[in-house]
Amino acid sequence: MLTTRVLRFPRKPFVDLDYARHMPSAYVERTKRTVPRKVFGDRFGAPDIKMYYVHPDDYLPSHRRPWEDKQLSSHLQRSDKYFSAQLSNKYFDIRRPKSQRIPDTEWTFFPGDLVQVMVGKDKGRQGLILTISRDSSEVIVDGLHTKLGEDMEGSEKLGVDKTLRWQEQPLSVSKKQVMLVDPNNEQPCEARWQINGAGDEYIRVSTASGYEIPIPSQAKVTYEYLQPENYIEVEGKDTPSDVVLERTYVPKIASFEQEIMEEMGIKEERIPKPTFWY
Amino acid sequence: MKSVLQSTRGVRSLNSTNFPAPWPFVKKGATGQRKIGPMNYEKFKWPGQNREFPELSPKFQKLNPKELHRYTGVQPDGYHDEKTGEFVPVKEMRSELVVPNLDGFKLRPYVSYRTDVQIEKRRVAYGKKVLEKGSERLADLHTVEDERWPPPKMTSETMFELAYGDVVRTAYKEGKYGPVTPKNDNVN
Repeated sequence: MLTTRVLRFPRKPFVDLDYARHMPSAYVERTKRTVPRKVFGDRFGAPDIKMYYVHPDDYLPSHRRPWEDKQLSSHLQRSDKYFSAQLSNKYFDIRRPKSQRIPDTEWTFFPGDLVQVMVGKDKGRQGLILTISRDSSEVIVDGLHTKLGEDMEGSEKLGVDKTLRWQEQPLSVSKKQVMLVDPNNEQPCEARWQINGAGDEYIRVSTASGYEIPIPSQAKVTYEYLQPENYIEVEGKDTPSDVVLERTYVPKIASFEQEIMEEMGIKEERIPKPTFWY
Repeated sequence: MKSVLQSTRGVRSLNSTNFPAPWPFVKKGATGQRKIGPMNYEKFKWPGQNREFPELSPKFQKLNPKELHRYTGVQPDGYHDEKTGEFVPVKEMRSELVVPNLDGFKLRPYVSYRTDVQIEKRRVAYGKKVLEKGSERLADLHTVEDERWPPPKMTSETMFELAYGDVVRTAYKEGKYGPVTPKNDNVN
Protein backbone atom coordinates (compact mmCIF):
# COMPACT_ATOMS: atom_id res chain seq x y z
CA MET A 1 0.00 0.00 0.00
CA LEU A 2 1.31 3.40 -1.00
CA THR A 3 1.66 5.90 1.77
CA THR A 4 -0.10 9.17 1.22
CA ARG A 5 1.62 12.16 -0.32
CA VAL A 6 1.35 14.10 2.91
CA LEU A 7 3.40 11.55 4.76
CA ARG A 8 5.95 10.87 2.07
CA PHE A 9 7.03 14.45 1.38
CA PRO A 10 8.37 16.50 4.30
CA ARG A 11 6.64 19.77 4.94
CA LYS A 12 8.16 23.16 4.54
CA PRO A 13 7.64 24.83 7.90
CA PHE A 14 10.12 27.58 7.02
CA VAL A 15 7.69 29.26 4.62
CA ASP A 16 5.74 30.94 7.41
CA LEU A 17 8.53 31.72 9.84
CA ASP A 18 7.88 35.30 10.85
CA TYR A 19 7.44 37.23 14.04
CA ALA A 20 3.98 38.33 12.92
CA ARG A 21 2.85 34.96 11.57
CA HIS A 22 -0.23 34.87 13.80
CA MET A 23 -1.37 38.34 12.83
CA PRO A 24 -4.84 37.90 11.26
CA SER A 25 -4.53 38.42 7.52
CA ALA A 26 -7.82 40.33 7.40
CA TYR A 27 -6.36 42.86 9.85
CA VAL A 28 -3.16 43.15 7.82
CA GLU A 29 -5.15 43.76 4.65
CA ARG A 30 -7.20 46.38 6.42
CA THR A 31 -4.11 48.23 7.61
CA LYS A 32 -2.77 48.11 4.07
CA ARG A 33 -6.17 49.49 2.98
CA THR A 34 -6.13 47.17 -0.02
CA VAL A 35 -9.69 46.06 0.71
CA PRO A 36 -12.79 46.91 -1.31
CA ARG A 37 -14.75 49.92 -0.08
CA LYS A 38 -17.82 48.61 -1.85
CA VAL A 39 -18.52 45.59 -4.03
CA PHE A 40 -21.12 45.88 -6.75
CA GLY A 41 -22.25 42.34 -7.31
CA ASP A 42 -25.29 40.56 -8.73
CA ARG A 43 -24.38 41.49 -12.28
CA PHE A 44 -26.06 38.64 -14.18
CA GLY A 45 -22.97 36.46 -13.90
CA ALA A 46 -20.45 39.13 -14.87
CA PRO A 47 -17.56 39.73 -12.43
CA ASP A 48 -18.11 42.07 -9.50
CA ILE A 49 -17.13 45.70 -9.74
CA LYS A 50 -14.98 46.59 -6.74
CA MET A 51 -14.22 50.04 -5.40
CA TYR A 52 -11.06 49.86 -3.31
CA TYR A 53 -9.78 52.03 -0.48
CA VAL A 54 -6.37 51.67 -2.12
CA HIS A 55 -6.10 49.57 -5.24
CA PRO A 56 -4.00 46.41 -4.54
CA ASP A 57 -1.75 47.30 -7.50
CA ASP A 58 -1.12 50.67 -5.89
CA TYR A 59 0.27 49.19 -2.66
CA LEU A 60 3.97 49.90 -2.25
CA PRO A 61 5.66 47.23 -0.08
CA SER A 62 8.05 48.56 2.55
CA HIS A 63 10.45 47.08 5.08
CA ARG A 64 8.18 48.47 7.78
CA ARG A 65 5.12 46.43 8.70
CA PRO A 66 1.79 47.82 7.44
CA TRP A 67 0.36 48.20 10.98
CA GLU A 68 3.24 50.37 12.18
CA ASP A 69 2.31 53.95 12.93
CA LYS A 70 4.14 55.63 10.06
CA GLN A 71 3.05 53.08 7.48
CA LEU A 72 -0.55 53.16 8.59
CA SER A 73 -0.77 56.93 8.37
CA SER A 74 0.77 56.88 4.89
CA HIS A 75 -1.78 54.25 3.78
CA LEU A 76 -4.60 56.38 5.15
CA GLN A 77 -3.29 59.42 3.30
CA ARG A 78 -3.01 57.45 0.10
CA SER A 79 -6.56 56.13 0.38
CA ASP A 80 -7.85 59.66 1.03
CA LYS A 81 -6.06 60.86 -2.07
CA TYR A 82 -7.46 58.00 -4.12
CA PHE A 83 -11.00 58.60 -2.90
CA SER A 84 -10.90 62.34 -3.51
CA ALA A 85 -9.60 61.68 -7.02
CA GLN A 86 -12.52 59.33 -7.60
CA LEU A 87 -15.07 61.81 -6.28
CA SER A 88 -13.75 64.66 -8.34
CA ASN A 89 -13.40 62.42 -11.39
CA LYS A 90 -9.66 63.08 -11.64
CA TYR A 91 -7.06 60.77 -13.09
CA PHE A 92 -5.20 58.82 -10.41
CA ASP A 93 -1.90 57.20 -11.26
CA ILE A 94 -1.72 53.70 -9.79
CA ARG A 95 1.88 53.01 -8.79
CA ARG A 96 2.14 49.30 -9.79
CA PRO A 97 5.52 48.47 -8.15
CA LYS A 98 7.70 46.35 -10.43
CA SER A 99 9.63 44.42 -7.78
CA GLN A 100 8.79 40.74 -7.76
CA ARG A 101 8.27 39.02 -4.46
CA ILE A 102 10.66 36.11 -3.94
CA PRO A 103 8.58 32.91 -3.54
CA ASP A 104 8.23 31.73 0.08
CA THR A 105 9.87 28.41 -0.78
CA GLU A 106 13.00 30.13 -2.10
CA TRP A 107 13.46 32.67 0.68
CA THR A 108 16.50 31.82 2.79
CA PHE A 109 17.10 34.83 5.08
CA PHE A 110 15.95 34.79 8.69
CA PRO A 111 16.47 36.99 11.73
CA GLY A 112 19.64 35.99 13.59
CA ASP A 113 21.47 34.85 10.44
CA LEU A 114 25.06 35.90 9.87
CA VAL A 115 25.22 37.81 6.58
CA GLN A 116 27.73 39.86 4.67
CA VAL A 117 26.93 43.29 3.30
CA MET A 118 27.95 43.53 -0.37
CA VAL A 119 27.41 47.24 -1.02
CA GLY A 120 27.85 50.63 0.56
CA LYS A 121 30.22 51.91 3.19
CA ASP A 122 30.10 48.62 5.13
CA LYS A 123 30.86 46.50 2.07
CA GLY A 124 32.47 43.20 3.09
CA ARG A 125 31.51 43.44 6.76
CA GLN A 126 29.48 40.71 8.41
CA GLY A 127 26.65 41.06 10.88
CA LEU A 128 23.46 39.51 12.21
CA ILE A 129 20.05 40.10 10.65
CA LEU A 130 17.70 42.07 12.89
CA THR A 131 14.50 41.96 10.87
CA ILE A 132 13.39 40.78 7.47
CA SER A 133 10.65 41.97 5.19
CA ARG A 134 9.14 39.43 2.85
CA ASP A 135 6.96 42.01 1.09
CA SER A 136 9.87 44.10 -0.14
CA SER A 137 12.56 41.32 0.00
CA GLU A 138 14.75 43.39 2.29
CA VAL A 139 16.67 42.74 5.48
CA ILE A 140 18.06 44.99 8.18
CA VAL A 141 21.51 44.06 9.47
CA ASP A 142 22.42 44.96 13.04
CA GLY A 143 24.68 48.01 13.14
CA LEU A 144 25.60 47.92 9.45
CA HIS A 145 24.60 50.04 6.46
CA THR A 146 23.56 52.89 8.74
CA LYS A 147 22.56 56.47 8.11
CA LEU A 148 22.64 59.31 10.62
CA GLY A 149 19.01 60.23 11.15
CA GLU A 150 16.89 62.18 13.52
CA ASP A 151 15.66 60.07 16.41
CA MET A 152 12.30 61.82 16.74
CA GLU A 153 11.15 63.98 13.89
CA GLY A 154 9.82 67.39 14.83
CA SER A 155 11.31 67.23 18.30
CA GLU A 156 12.57 70.82 18.07
CA LYS A 157 9.02 72.06 17.68
CA LEU A 158 8.14 70.40 20.99
CA GLY A 159 11.09 72.09 22.68
CA VAL A 160 13.21 68.96 22.97
CA ASP A 161 16.80 68.87 21.76
CA LYS A 162 17.39 67.21 18.43
CA THR A 163 19.00 63.80 18.87
CA LEU A 164 20.74 62.03 16.04
CA ARG A 165 21.14 58.29 15.84
CA TRP A 166 22.64 55.78 13.43
CA GLN A 167 19.71 54.10 11.76
CA GLU A 168 20.08 50.83 9.89
CA GLN A 169 18.86 51.01 6.32
CA PRO A 170 17.22 48.06 4.56
CA LEU A 171 19.35 45.97 2.21
CA SER A 172 17.75 44.28 -0.75
CA VAL A 173 18.02 40.52 -1.07
CA SER A 174 16.80 40.34 -4.65
CA LYS A 175 19.50 42.84 -5.71
CA LYS A 176 22.08 40.78 -3.78
CA GLN A 177 23.05 43.62 -1.49
CA VAL A 178 23.42 41.03 1.28
CA MET A 179 24.49 37.42 1.13
CA LEU A 180 24.51 34.60 3.64
CA VAL A 181 27.84 33.52 5.10
CA ASP A 182 29.05 30.02 4.37
CA PRO A 183 29.94 28.32 7.70
CA ASN A 184 32.66 26.38 5.88
CA ASN A 185 34.94 29.22 4.75
CA GLU A 186 33.09 32.28 6.08
CA GLN A 187 32.69 33.62 2.57
CA PRO A 188 29.43 35.04 1.14
CA CYS A 189 27.33 32.36 -0.50
CA GLU A 190 23.88 31.58 -1.78
CA ALA A 191 21.67 29.03 -0.10
CA ARG A 192 18.90 26.65 -1.10
CA TRP A 193 16.48 24.29 0.60
CA GLN A 194 17.26 20.60 0.43
CA ILE A 195 15.87 17.43 1.98
CA ASN A 196 18.25 16.11 4.64
CA GLY A 197 19.86 12.67 4.75
CA ALA A 198 17.05 11.10 6.79
CA GLY A 199 14.55 12.46 4.26
CA ASP A 200 12.17 13.90 6.82
CA GLU A 201 13.11 17.57 6.91
CA TYR A 202 14.18 20.47 4.73
CA ILE A 203 17.50 22.02 5.61
CA ARG A 204 19.21 25.13 4.30
CA VAL A 205 22.49 24.40 2.59
CA SER A 206 25.10 26.61 0.97
CA THR A 207 25.15 26.09 -2.80
CA ALA A 208 28.91 26.61 -2.94
CA SER A 209 30.09 24.07 -0.36
CA GLY A 210 26.96 22.07 0.50
CA TYR A 211 27.37 22.82 4.21
CA GLU A 212 24.20 23.18 6.25
CA ILE A 213 23.36 26.66 7.50
CA PRO A 214 21.16 25.99 10.54
CA ILE A 215 18.13 28.23 11.10
CA PRO A 216 18.69 30.42 14.18
CA SER A 217 16.25 30.13 17.06
CA GLN A 218 15.54 33.85 16.72
CA ALA A 219 13.66 33.05 13.48
CA LYS A 220 10.99 31.20 15.44
CA VAL A 221 10.25 34.10 17.76
CA THR A 222 6.79 35.60 17.31
CA TYR A 223 4.74 38.26 19.07
CA GLU A 224 3.24 35.49 21.24
CA TYR A 225 6.22 33.36 22.21
CA LEU A 226 9.98 32.95 21.98
CA GLN A 227 9.67 29.23 21.28
CA PRO A 228 6.33 27.53 20.60
CA GLU A 229 7.06 24.89 23.27
CA ASN A 230 7.48 27.58 25.92
CA TYR A 231 4.33 29.51 25.10
CA ILE A 232 2.63 30.67 28.30
CA GLU A 233 -1.05 29.81 28.09
CA VAL A 234 -3.46 32.52 29.18
CA GLU A 235 -5.65 31.35 32.04
CA GLY A 236 -9.31 31.30 31.06
CA LYS A 237 -8.69 32.21 27.43
CA ASP A 238 -6.50 29.52 25.90
CA THR A 239 -7.67 25.94 25.69
CA PRO A 240 -4.74 23.72 26.75
CA SER A 241 -3.39 21.47 24.02
CA ASP A 242 -4.32 18.19 25.74
CA VAL A 243 -7.95 19.34 25.99
CA VAL A 244 -7.93 20.44 22.35
CA LEU A 245 -6.54 17.12 21.14
CA GLU A 246 -8.80 14.97 23.29
CA ARG A 247 -11.10 12.76 21.21
CA THR A 248 -14.59 12.87 22.66
CA TYR A 249 -16.61 11.59 19.73
CA VAL A 250 -18.29 8.28 20.42
CA PRO A 251 -19.57 6.61 17.24
CA LYS A 252 -23.13 5.42 17.53
CA ILE A 253 -25.66 4.12 15.01
CA ALA A 254 -28.37 6.68 15.57
CA SER A 255 -29.76 9.62 13.68
CA PHE A 256 -29.65 13.13 15.09
CA GLU A 257 -33.29 12.88 16.07
CA GLN A 258 -32.78 9.51 17.73
CA GLU A 259 -29.93 10.88 19.84
CA ILE A 260 -32.06 13.79 21.01
CA MET A 261 -34.92 11.40 21.79
CA GLU A 262 -32.62 9.24 23.86
CA GLU A 263 -31.30 12.26 25.75
CA MET A 264 -34.80 13.47 26.55
CA GLY A 265 -36.08 10.03 27.47
CA ILE A 266 -38.56 9.66 24.63
CA LYS A 267 -39.22 6.04 23.76
CA GLU A 268 -39.99 5.02 20.21
CA GLU A 269 -42.48 2.19 20.12
CA ARG A 270 -43.33 2.15 16.45
CA ILE A 271 -41.36 -0.30 14.37
CA PRO A 272 -39.91 1.25 11.22
CA LYS A 273 -40.54 -0.45 7.94
CA PRO A 274 -37.51 -2.23 6.52
CA THR A 275 -35.63 -0.25 3.90
CA PHE A 276 -33.64 -1.71 1.07
CA TRP A 277 -30.63 -0.25 -0.73
CA TYR A 278 -29.77 -1.48 -4.17
CA MET B 1 -25.70 43.17 -29.54
CA LYS B 2 -23.18 44.73 -31.87
CA SER B 3 -21.87 42.50 -34.57
CA VAL B 4 -18.30 43.65 -33.89
CA LEU B 5 -18.32 42.31 -30.38
CA GLN B 6 -19.97 39.01 -31.23
CA SER B 7 -17.73 36.04 -30.58
CA THR B 8 -16.69 34.10 -33.65
CA ARG B 9 -15.80 31.05 -31.59
CA GLY B 10 -19.19 30.84 -29.94
CA VAL B 11 -17.59 31.38 -26.51
CA ARG B 12 -18.88 33.86 -23.98
CA SER B 13 -16.14 36.22 -22.83
CA LEU B 14 -16.31 38.45 -19.78
CA ASN B 15 -17.28 41.44 -21.91
CA SER B 16 -20.42 43.12 -20.64
CA THR B 17 -22.14 42.67 -24.01
CA ASN B 18 -22.22 38.95 -23.32
CA PHE B 19 -24.29 39.42 -20.19
CA PRO B 20 -27.57 40.81 -21.48
CA ALA B 21 -30.30 41.52 -18.99
CA PRO B 22 -33.21 39.08 -18.91
CA TRP B 23 -35.70 41.91 -19.48
CA PRO B 24 -35.41 44.91 -21.77
CA PHE B 25 -34.02 48.00 -20.10
CA VAL B 26 -35.72 51.04 -21.48
CA LYS B 27 -34.03 54.32 -20.95
CA LYS B 28 -36.48 57.01 -20.05
CA GLY B 29 -34.92 59.84 -21.96
CA ALA B 30 -34.06 57.80 -25.02
CA THR B 31 -35.97 58.56 -28.15
CA GLY B 32 -36.85 56.02 -30.78
CA GLN B 33 -37.13 53.21 -28.26
CA ARG B 34 -40.29 51.21 -27.85
CA LYS B 35 -41.66 52.02 -24.41
CA ILE B 36 -42.52 48.52 -23.38
CA GLY B 37 -41.55 46.29 -20.54
CA PRO B 38 -40.86 47.28 -16.99
CA MET B 39 -39.10 50.58 -16.51
CA ASN B 40 -35.85 49.79 -14.84
CA TYR B 41 -33.68 52.68 -13.88
CA GLU B 42 -30.36 50.95 -14.18
CA LYS B 43 -28.51 54.20 -13.69
CA PHE B 44 -28.91 54.33 -9.93
CA LYS B 45 -27.62 50.80 -9.40
CA TRP B 46 -24.24 51.44 -10.95
CA PRO B 47 -21.22 52.73 -9.10
CA GLY B 48 -20.29 56.31 -9.59
CA GLN B 49 -19.96 59.66 -8.02
CA ASN B 50 -22.50 60.17 -5.22
CA ARG B 51 -24.41 57.11 -6.27
CA GLU B 52 -23.10 54.46 -3.91
CA PHE B 53 -25.31 55.41 -0.96
CA PRO B 54 -27.93 53.02 0.40
CA GLU B 55 -31.63 53.87 0.40
CA LEU B 56 -31.65 54.54 4.11
CA SER B 57 -28.93 57.15 4.02
CA PRO B 58 -29.80 60.23 6.09
CA LYS B 59 -28.94 62.25 3.01
CA PHE B 60 -32.09 61.02 1.28
CA GLN B 61 -34.40 60.71 4.27
CA LYS B 62 -37.29 62.47 2.58
CA LEU B 63 -37.05 60.16 -0.40
CA ASN B 64 -37.15 57.03 1.76
CA PRO B 65 -40.31 54.94 1.72
CA LYS B 66 -42.77 55.99 4.41
CA GLU B 67 -42.85 52.57 6.05
CA LEU B 68 -39.16 52.83 6.77
CA HIS B 69 -39.21 56.29 8.33
CA ARG B 70 -38.75 55.06 11.89
CA TYR B 71 -36.83 51.97 10.90
CA THR B 72 -34.21 50.97 13.45
CA GLY B 73 -33.45 47.39 12.41
CA VAL B 74 -34.83 46.10 15.73
CA GLN B 75 -37.62 43.55 16.02
CA PRO B 76 -40.73 45.06 17.69
CA ASP B 77 -41.78 43.55 21.04
CA GLY B 78 -45.38 44.66 20.83
CA TYR B 79 -47.83 46.38 18.55
CA HIS B 80 -49.46 49.76 18.18
CA ASP B 81 -53.13 49.63 19.09
CA GLU B 82 -54.99 52.02 16.81
CA LYS B 83 -58.15 52.14 18.95
CA THR B 84 -56.47 53.27 22.16
CA GLY B 85 -53.51 54.82 20.42
CA GLU B 86 -51.10 53.09 22.75
CA PHE B 87 -48.30 50.65 22.33
CA VAL B 88 -49.20 47.22 23.70
CA PRO B 89 -46.17 45.16 24.77
CA VAL B 90 -46.55 41.44 24.14
CA LYS B 91 -44.50 39.13 26.34
CA GLU B 92 -44.27 36.45 23.67
CA MET B 93 -42.78 38.91 21.19
CA ARG B 94 -39.91 39.84 23.48
CA SER B 95 -36.73 38.04 22.52
CA GLU B 96 -35.34 35.68 25.09
CA LEU B 97 -31.79 34.40 25.13
CA VAL B 98 -31.43 30.72 25.88
CA VAL B 99 -27.86 30.08 27.00
CA PRO B 100 -26.36 26.74 27.96
CA ASN B 101 -24.78 26.34 31.39
CA LEU B 102 -21.04 26.22 30.85
CA ASP B 103 -19.95 25.21 34.37
CA GLY B 104 -17.14 22.69 34.15
CA PHE B 105 -16.82 23.19 30.39
CA LYS B 106 -13.16 22.83 29.51
CA LEU B 107 -13.04 24.48 26.09
CA ARG B 108 -12.05 28.16 25.98
CA PRO B 109 -12.39 30.69 23.17
CA TYR B 110 -8.81 30.32 21.92
CA VAL B 111 -6.51 27.42 21.16
CA SER B 112 -3.08 27.31 22.76
CA TYR B 113 -0.09 27.65 20.44
CA ARG B 114 1.35 24.55 22.10
CA THR B 115 -1.23 22.50 20.19
CA ASP B 116 0.76 23.05 16.99
CA VAL B 117 3.83 21.61 18.69
CA GLN B 118 1.89 18.57 19.93
CA ILE B 119 0.38 17.97 16.49
CA GLU B 120 3.78 18.26 14.82
CA LYS B 121 5.23 15.79 17.34
CA ARG B 122 2.46 13.28 16.62
CA ARG B 123 2.72 13.76 12.87
CA VAL B 124 6.47 13.16 12.88
CA ALA B 125 6.14 10.10 15.16
CA TYR B 126 3.42 8.60 12.96
CA GLY B 127 5.37 9.34 9.78
CA LYS B 128 8.39 7.54 11.24
CA LYS B 129 6.22 4.58 12.20
CA VAL B 130 4.86 4.38 8.66
CA LEU B 131 8.39 4.37 7.22
CA GLU B 132 9.46 1.76 9.77
CA LYS B 133 6.53 -0.61 9.24
CA GLY B 134 6.21 -0.03 5.52
CA SER B 135 2.52 0.79 5.30
CA GLU B 136 -0.10 2.91 6.97
CA ARG B 137 -2.18 -0.11 7.86
CA LEU B 138 0.65 -1.72 9.81
CA ALA B 139 1.58 1.57 11.43
CA ASP B 140 -2.00 1.98 12.64
CA LEU B 141 -1.76 -1.32 14.48
CA HIS B 142 1.36 -0.19 16.33
CA THR B 143 0.27 3.27 17.41
CA VAL B 144 -2.32 4.36 19.95
CA GLU B 145 -5.35 5.59 18.06
CA ASP B 146 -5.57 8.81 20.09
CA GLU B 147 -1.92 9.57 19.32
CA ARG B 148 -2.26 9.37 15.54
CA TRP B 149 -1.95 12.43 13.35
CA PRO B 150 -3.77 12.93 11.03
CA PRO B 151 -6.48 11.33 13.18
CA PRO B 152 -8.22 8.28 11.69
CA LYS B 153 -11.24 9.04 9.58
CA MET B 154 -14.64 7.69 10.54
CA THR B 155 -15.62 5.65 7.51
CA SER B 156 -18.74 3.62 6.90
CA GLU B 157 -16.56 0.52 7.21
CA THR B 158 -15.39 1.40 10.76
CA MET B 159 -18.92 2.35 11.71
CA PHE B 160 -20.24 -1.01 10.49
CA GLU B 161 -17.41 -2.83 12.26
CA LEU B 162 -18.15 -1.09 15.56
CA ALA B 163 -21.90 -1.57 15.41
CA TYR B 164 -22.39 -4.95 13.77
CA GLY B 165 -18.93 -6.55 13.51
CA ASP B 166 -19.24 -8.90 16.50
CA VAL B 167 -22.84 -9.81 15.74
CA VAL B 168 -22.06 -10.75 12.16
CA ARG B 169 -18.95 -12.71 13.14
CA THR B 170 -20.68 -14.79 15.84
CA ALA B 171 -23.64 -15.43 13.54
CA TYR B 172 -21.24 -16.61 10.85
CA LYS B 173 -19.49 -18.94 13.30
CA GLU B 174 -22.79 -20.39 14.39
CA GLY B 175 -23.57 -21.11 10.76
CA LYS B 176 -26.64 -18.91 10.56
CA TYR B 177 -25.81 -17.73 7.05
CA GLY B 178 -25.62 -21.21 5.51
CA PRO B 179 -22.75 -22.47 3.36
CA VAL B 180 -20.76 -19.77 1.64
CA THR B 181 -19.46 -20.54 -1.85
CA PRO B 182 -16.23 -18.76 -2.73
CA LYS B 183 -16.38 -16.39 -5.69
CA ASN B 184 -14.79 -17.21 -8.99
CA ASP B 185 -11.69 -15.02 -9.19
CA ASN B 186 -10.22 -14.97 -12.66
CA VAL B 187 -8.04 -11.93 -11.96
CA ASN B 188 -5.05 -13.36 -10.04
